[in-house]
Amino acid sequence: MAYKSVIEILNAIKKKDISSSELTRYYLNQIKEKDTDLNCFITVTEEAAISKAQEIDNEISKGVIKPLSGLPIAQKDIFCTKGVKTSCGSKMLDNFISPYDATVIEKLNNAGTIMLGKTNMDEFAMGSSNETSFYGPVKNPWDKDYVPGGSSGGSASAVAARIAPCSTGTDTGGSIRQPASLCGICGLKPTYGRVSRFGMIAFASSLDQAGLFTTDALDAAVLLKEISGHDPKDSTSSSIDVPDYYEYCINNDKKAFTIGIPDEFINDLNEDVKKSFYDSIKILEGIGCKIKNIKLEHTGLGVSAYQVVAPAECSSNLSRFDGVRFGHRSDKASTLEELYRESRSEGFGKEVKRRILVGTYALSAGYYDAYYLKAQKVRNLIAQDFNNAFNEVDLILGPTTPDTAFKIGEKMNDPIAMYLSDVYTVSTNLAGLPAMSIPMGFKDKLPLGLQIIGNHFDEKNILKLCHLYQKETDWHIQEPNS
Amino acid sequence: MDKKTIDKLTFLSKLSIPESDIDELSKNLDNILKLIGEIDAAPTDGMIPMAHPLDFSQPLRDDVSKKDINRKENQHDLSKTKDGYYTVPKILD
Repeated sequence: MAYKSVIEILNAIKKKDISSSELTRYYLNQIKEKDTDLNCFITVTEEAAISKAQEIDNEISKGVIKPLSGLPIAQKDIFCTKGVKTSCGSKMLDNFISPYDATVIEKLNNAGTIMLGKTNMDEFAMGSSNETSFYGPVKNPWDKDYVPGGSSGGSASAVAARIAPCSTGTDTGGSIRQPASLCGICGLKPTYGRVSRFGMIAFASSLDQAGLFTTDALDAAVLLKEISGHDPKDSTSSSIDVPDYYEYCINNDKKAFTIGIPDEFINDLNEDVKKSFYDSIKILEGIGCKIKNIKLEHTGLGVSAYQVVAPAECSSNLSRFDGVRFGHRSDKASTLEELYRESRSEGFGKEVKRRILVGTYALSAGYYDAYYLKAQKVRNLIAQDFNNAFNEVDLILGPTTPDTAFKIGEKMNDPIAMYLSDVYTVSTNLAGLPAMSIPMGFKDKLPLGLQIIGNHFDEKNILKLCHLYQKETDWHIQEPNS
Repeated sequence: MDKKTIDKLTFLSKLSIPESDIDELSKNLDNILKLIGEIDAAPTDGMIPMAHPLDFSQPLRDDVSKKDINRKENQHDLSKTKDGYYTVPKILD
């Protein structure tokens, strides 16, 4: 493919160097060629994609150019798409055709994108390896024996394998940043409330946020503007103005960021990850950034607090799947109670059931104060640590994950080991902060990710720093052989 | 976690777990409770529980009726509906 980024693709379409139809067919062919092995897509919307691309080509011939005219995109199968199966990676929704579009989908459609299909994911976004999907594991294109991370594993693997130029994801505890890190691409989780959650199947409503995968930070800047903003259909979406992120990245002169390095993020790092991380710091110092050691004293409790809050909210959110109105319905039930129980037991996988049970336990009489209330107080402690840090620094830097991708099957029987792969990402969700992972090197031919965390609604400076870093490095343009 | 507690949780959450999976589940739940139990020692005296990450008030809109719900589209799965209603197993004889 001659065009390496979303921006190059958009410019080529505008200049009529390539048509949207040609581009769409190219990516559909790439999916046909590579996805049998990778398993990134649950549904490929070939016919609709070709038809929409022709429609966009007609518009362009009449001089109608939208912000993302003709850009192919892969959508995580957690976003409701009108008339197209939305499974959320679960047997529970294997038969679910949404009657409406999620706001993210509607905005991207209106901006001129072409949906290539719906990507594979951990069931109901619960997982860090994409192995809990009803549709089978996704493979990491850097080495197919390894996981791509999760829960947005299909979206990340597709962009890394260059079978889609960009994709959407969702991040409840690291589900965009962790797979971006493991697949060697950019993954942006915006501030909670920056992007509407309407039509995004809920896992943990106070943590969930939609975001993006791209290969270049500037691509994420262009796309973020299109999906952000207040949505009357989501009362938790923010009315704060959406800046022109791309314009800011290109034209703003700011370079001398003060960057905080939390001791808690580097104390236990293995030497290879630490080396890549310190090499990255040197690059940032070289462009004028000031480095300051900081403390995020309570982030060590992030995974524990998260594993109370997220399952508690999930046990409530997933109570809607009862076999009555939509989704899987058991044919073994002869009473209403059995209909609920059998439909849910047949429809949900092991990890989802486990989280529902933990959440039910944490919310049940006698345990509510000890677990749920306590976790909410710890959440406040963690958020205050970040607030204090942002009084001293512009951005916070750390590794995205403790290590590179792990082998498929390696952690499936050890939920704790799996949960701990999100140790550096969950705290930002608890605090509602924006963060981004970008490639910072390799260890044993597998990618490593650098995480940049910003203050609420400060995506523009995260993107700016990532852009400055990517001007000095070439990790983000390296491609897997597969 | 003992079987009695697991039975109570599966009853509350409308789930059934095969007998053959109970031991593994019990072991995993014990490990998870150990992990989440780490919050117990956190110094949270005087802390306000944080239910939501952003400190903004709930926006209100005018209460205007809209006709954007299409029953036919919402009930396209005909195996679950009859005459516009959802069907369930008989509750009363």
